[in-house]
Amino acid sequence: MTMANKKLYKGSLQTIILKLLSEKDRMYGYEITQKVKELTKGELKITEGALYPALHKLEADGLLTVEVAKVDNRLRKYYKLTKDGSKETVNKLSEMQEFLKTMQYLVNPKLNLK
Amino acid sequence: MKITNENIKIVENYLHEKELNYIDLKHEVLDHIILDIEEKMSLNISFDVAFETTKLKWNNYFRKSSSFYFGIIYNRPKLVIKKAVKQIKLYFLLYLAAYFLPQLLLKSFRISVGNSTADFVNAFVSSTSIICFFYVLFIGFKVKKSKVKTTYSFILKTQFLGIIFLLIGALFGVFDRQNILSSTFTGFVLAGYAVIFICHHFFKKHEKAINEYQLS
Repeated sequence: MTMANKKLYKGSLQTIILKLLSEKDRMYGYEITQKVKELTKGELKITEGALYPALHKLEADGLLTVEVAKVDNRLRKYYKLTKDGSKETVNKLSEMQEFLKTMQYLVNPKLNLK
Repeated sequence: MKITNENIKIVENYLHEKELNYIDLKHEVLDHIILDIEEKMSLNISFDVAFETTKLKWNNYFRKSSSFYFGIIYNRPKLVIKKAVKQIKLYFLLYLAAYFLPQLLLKSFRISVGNSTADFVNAFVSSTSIICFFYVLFIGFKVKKSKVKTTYSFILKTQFLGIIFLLIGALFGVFDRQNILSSTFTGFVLAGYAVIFICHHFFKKHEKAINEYQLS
């Protein structure tokens, strides 16, 4: 992935996390990175340095809540959407779709004439 | 492929060396690193090589860092500082507003009252400031006694100095000798109350984090 691409994805990280959590009851950090890698066929690899600050921001904003469970004799931190988080997911996804539509007008204006 | 308990101990020691002792982050990072190593080991890579490769990824996030929000004397791993900044930002604004709003308003509007009212308000401010001061001491004692570090206990540590504002409130009150509401002392007292609110909030979060990890 190029540096420019990384910047484009960075702004969408919170939306990606919210979307994944809206499809599964709860997820832990490593699971999120693996799921994104799998869904994008390895094109997008979320770094730990980007993932955890984003998760902590969403938690601080009250959009995610935390559950701790013992797995394989160690503690695992799971993230879940709160009620506000579910509402925000809908907003963020619609914003994202609007953005993609607008970008489509800009990068491929011929398509819009059809 | 699952790593052995001995190997987990090595990873734990590495986090301890990097001073990632904050339970709300430590367990999360430990789990992530172990899963990462296990994935590499499933591709027939030895634990030592897998661990070294994983360390290369994480070392940068454990580098000592500080923030304007806490001051340069508070050096902690970058991951801790980043999380703490995200938590404190909003409360920092509250703190600034509590100090600067009275400065702006009372410079424009002069408020003066009679002797008895000024004495009553000053006595009220002094007594509440003393109560709040002891509450902060109680928080400090409880946090120290729990012996568990969280990002929230780190934030609390950086806020305790704010009780100086409370002491100023307790000593001087908010009305001066001419019974005029002082912008400076009102700012100090409100900033002191903001510190109490911030300390209370992060103390509750600290206790919640301990309960979540069942370490209390």
